[in-house]
Amino acid sequence: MLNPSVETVSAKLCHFIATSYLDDDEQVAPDTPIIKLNILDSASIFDVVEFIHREFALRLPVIDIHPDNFATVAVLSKVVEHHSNKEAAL
Amino acid sequence: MNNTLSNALHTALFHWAQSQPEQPFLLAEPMCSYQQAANYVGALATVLQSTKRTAIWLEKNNHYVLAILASLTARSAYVPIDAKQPAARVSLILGDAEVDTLIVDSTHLTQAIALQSEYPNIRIIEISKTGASTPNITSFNWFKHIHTSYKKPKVSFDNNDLAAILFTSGSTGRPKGVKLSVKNLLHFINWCQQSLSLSSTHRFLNIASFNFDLSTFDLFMSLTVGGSLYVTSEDVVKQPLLLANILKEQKINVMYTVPSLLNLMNRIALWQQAQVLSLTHIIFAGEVMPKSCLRTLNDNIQHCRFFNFYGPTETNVCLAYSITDEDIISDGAIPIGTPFGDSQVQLVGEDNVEIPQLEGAIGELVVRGSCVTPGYCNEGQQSKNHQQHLHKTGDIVQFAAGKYYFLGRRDRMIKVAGFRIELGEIEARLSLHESITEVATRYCIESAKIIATYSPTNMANKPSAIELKAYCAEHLPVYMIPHRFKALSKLPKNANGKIDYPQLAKVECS
Repeated sequence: MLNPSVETVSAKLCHFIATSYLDDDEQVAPDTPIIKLNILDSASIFDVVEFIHREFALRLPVIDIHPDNFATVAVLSKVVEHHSNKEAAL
Repeated sequence: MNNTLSNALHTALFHWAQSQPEQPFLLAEPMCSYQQAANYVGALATVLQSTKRTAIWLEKNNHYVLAILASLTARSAYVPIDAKQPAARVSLILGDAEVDTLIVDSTHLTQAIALQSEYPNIRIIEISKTGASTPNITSFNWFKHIHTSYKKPKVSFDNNDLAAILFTSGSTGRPKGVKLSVKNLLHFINWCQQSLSLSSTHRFLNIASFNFDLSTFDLFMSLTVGGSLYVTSEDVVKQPLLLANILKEQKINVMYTVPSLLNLMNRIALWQQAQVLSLTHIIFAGEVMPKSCLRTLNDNIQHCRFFNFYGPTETNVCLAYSITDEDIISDGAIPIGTPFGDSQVQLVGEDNVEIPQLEGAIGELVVRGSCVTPGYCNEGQQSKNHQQHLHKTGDIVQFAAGKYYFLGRRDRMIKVAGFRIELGEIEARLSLHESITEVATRYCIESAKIIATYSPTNMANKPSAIELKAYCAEHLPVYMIPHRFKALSKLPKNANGKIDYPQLAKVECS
């Protein structure tokens, strides 16, 4: 499988978060502070983890399920990309 | 031998510092023995002499505990403020609680100095490792004091002393400061001491914010029995692996938290990873415990007793229940238990008339006794009932088989992840937004989301949800920020011209 680019990951995560946790016409930008604005809470972080698993066939290590890594989509996309690259290298 | 203290509360620290000076009191880094804690608290209490109300605005760590104990040792009520509270809300709290001293760390110093222009008479004390005092800021060098033998302060207190003011959500838009007396805390802690078989060998975990009354158990119960306490950071509820590691590595025995966190631990199957062999007591409160969650806990954690505690902040804990094997097997709801100590309860109907407590009786729970707190710190929020040690909880309960069961609320207060939220406070804040004419908030139980429906001043140019969330973040704690916003040209009204909340609830929930 080709690794998704960080832009693709970011776009998909923004879309998933906006459609799941905001109304249809609302958009999440890569730099929107999704934790600070209570768009994601403790439980919905794990919905996003499951989305990443479904969409990118990537199981984020529990150690990385940390609020700092979910502060924005930009930060989270880099975490996803980092792990995708590691898996591809194996 | 059950070597514990009665009626000691914070003064237990100085007892244990003499009888077991090397015993670890605070387990998180930097670890702190009873002797070191007494050194720190004795020195800081001296700085706090003649203080009446001490607000504490620190990151959640060992310093927070020591500042609380120093405040009480100086016979000053502590006013805990969560590290991430917006400055605008902190300002309201400082004013309403009539705070005269504010303890901060370097993270909050700049914001505290900014607040000094509004409250020039508040003294600021900075907890620091190296800092030097300036004319406006007293620096408390904790590192020096923790290693300097303490001069035992004169520790006395009266049961009617004010111990703490805990701020909770207020329905009129202003946070409500609930006053807790020493007597209220002792009523709860003395019962726990007699009923839970805890001792100095027990290791307690503190997860709750110090502004949440769950924390009074962690702090004062560990102290009463001379046990050890691990204080987690504020973010630990979003870092379950970290929590699992703490449970395992710190060999935690006693954990008191809200069901939603236990459910999250279940969801990601962290109990086995945590190898929680040491847990002997799991206590939950603040929300209804789903039966499925309890069963999963029971399947994963062996030899552990489970307890359901009940009580709004205004009564601390006043009813309790020890879960039985039968409760785990049966499909029935989990009781909130029976009153303890000198607490008494009665049920009243909508007309405030007492309902006889016959099998199956349903009514609003009214609590009476030493557990009932003296009231609120803002005159406008005072209740005559509290002067008579009586609190109408607003909780609808059922009496069955000698126990009480929570059924729901009679007002618009909700609980989200254990946090108590008055929907009216969110509405009051949002109604001040320049683009909002009128707003109504409601809580969707199915999706566990707060939904704000509003009519904008200009529908064609309505603010985005992100913009409204950012506005809320400036004034409200993060858990009070609505999850969703819906704009309507007009909000539904009933025949009396008031917001028609049942009609609003018909708006899509998810």
